[in-house]
Amino acid sequence: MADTFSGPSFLYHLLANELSVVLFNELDKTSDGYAPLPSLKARKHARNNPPEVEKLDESMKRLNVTPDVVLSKLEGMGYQVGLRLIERLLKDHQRFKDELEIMKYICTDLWKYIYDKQIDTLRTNNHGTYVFTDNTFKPLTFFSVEGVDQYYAAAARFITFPCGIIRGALSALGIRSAVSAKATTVTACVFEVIVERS
Amino acid sequence: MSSKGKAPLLDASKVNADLIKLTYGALVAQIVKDYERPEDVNKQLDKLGYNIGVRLVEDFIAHHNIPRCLDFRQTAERIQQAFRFYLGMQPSVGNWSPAGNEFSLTWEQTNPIGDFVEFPDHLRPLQYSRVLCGAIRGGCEMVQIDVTINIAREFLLADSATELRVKFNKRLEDALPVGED
Amino acid sequence: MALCIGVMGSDNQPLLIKISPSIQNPIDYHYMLYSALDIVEEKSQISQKTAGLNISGAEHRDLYLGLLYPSSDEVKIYAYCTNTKVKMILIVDATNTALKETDIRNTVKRLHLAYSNMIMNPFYEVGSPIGAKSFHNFVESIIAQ
Repeated sequence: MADTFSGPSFLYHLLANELSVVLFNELDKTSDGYAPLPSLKARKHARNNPPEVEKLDESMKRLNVTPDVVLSKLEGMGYQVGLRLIERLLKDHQRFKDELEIMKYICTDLWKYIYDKQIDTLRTNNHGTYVFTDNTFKPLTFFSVEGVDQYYAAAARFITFPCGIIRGALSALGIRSAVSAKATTVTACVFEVIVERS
Repeated sequence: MSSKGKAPLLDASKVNADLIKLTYGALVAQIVKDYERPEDVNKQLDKLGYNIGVRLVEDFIAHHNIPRCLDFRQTAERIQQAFRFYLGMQPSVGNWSPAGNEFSLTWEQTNPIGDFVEFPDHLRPLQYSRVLCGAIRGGCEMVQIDVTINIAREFLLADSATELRVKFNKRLEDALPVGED
Repeated sequence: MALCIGVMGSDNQPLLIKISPSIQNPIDYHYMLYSALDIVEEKSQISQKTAGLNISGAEHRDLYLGLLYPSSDEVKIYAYCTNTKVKMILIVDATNTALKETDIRNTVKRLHLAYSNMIMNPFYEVGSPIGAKSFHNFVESIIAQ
């Protein structure tokens, strides 16, 4: 896509962060949608800190909803993005030979398009299961929480959207699959793609 | 954890503007499904923009090493620069009010964040560009300027251009209490 | 330039079919479009299989499928199948000798570009019939040329 503009990725990561925030706002319909004018201290704080993930968990408890609702919507949005994105990217690409070539494309070109790097390792059992490992997954480097346990819980919010992207891209190419992800160590993420065999 | 309590490191990675537009589009489509009234959707988009703007301005300043704006005209130029920097879609600045406290950002024949969007008829009250308003408002607030932004023209609603009208309200002082004007 | 343009989705559902107003019997063209789909499936699968073998020439992995079969004296049918299984089928007048292969190639490429632009619309549900006026106008302009 040499003819379209590429800008600093920070904007994209901010937007991706905000996806889950907006979905939580939806659940809390008592909020009028306008953030109050913050004090200087709050402004300074916002300047230096990415969105506080713990607060989102508290809202969830208060509203008595499970994360699944939000996560499935996030995944659904990722699916839509993946579907359309792959059409754009493959506009001038030749026909794919087989499933493995498609997976390789996702690990290289697609990942590079979104995260400016490739997937570090691709493994497969040659029976429809593929595992992508990204050792420095960008979205995971952008937020802060207190404590390791909350990190893994919060990470779910940031890795669900890319799962959707992968599933959407595969679906557009005629491959039905289930994609799940796990944050393994700090900043590393593993995506597991299981292709539906008819 | 690399970023515990610190601003994200200045990184040079790039992302295609199409991806931003697609992600924003998917988000709008989802919110539209969940809220009944387009007016509520607009509020959410504004808030979304605000949250982004508040953080984006730091990144912008860090990349550009610019001094503080001395007047509103300079602010206008910075905003123009920011659109070019992040989205590759630079608006023209013009239509200044005689008092110099209001100007327009205009993108001719396009919308900077939704160039191929076509609205279904029942969604006409939806303000697709509202996120831009929120972002500019949030960014300005972080540099102590209170502005109000209106969408004067919307290309996606068959106007000839997308035009945002930015109006200066006042400077923000540190002593301003939360929630009071 | 074309008598009929059909854009069919990945499940062979019609996304957009436009027929030149000069045609007396549009039903025949619908029929031609749908029978063309079978050939398109065959052709795009062959190109996938042979792509694995070491056959020289990039045409086996080309999205452009070319002239589908030596059809009648009246019409020629060309097809193009994207990686996402969206098919674009052009039916042109066989007597129009001014029309070259390269023109057809360029036209389907432009169709593909228009489709991929249209798909950026978040309010369009991928795989559903296309309602976007800009795309309709574009296809009509090709037919009218």
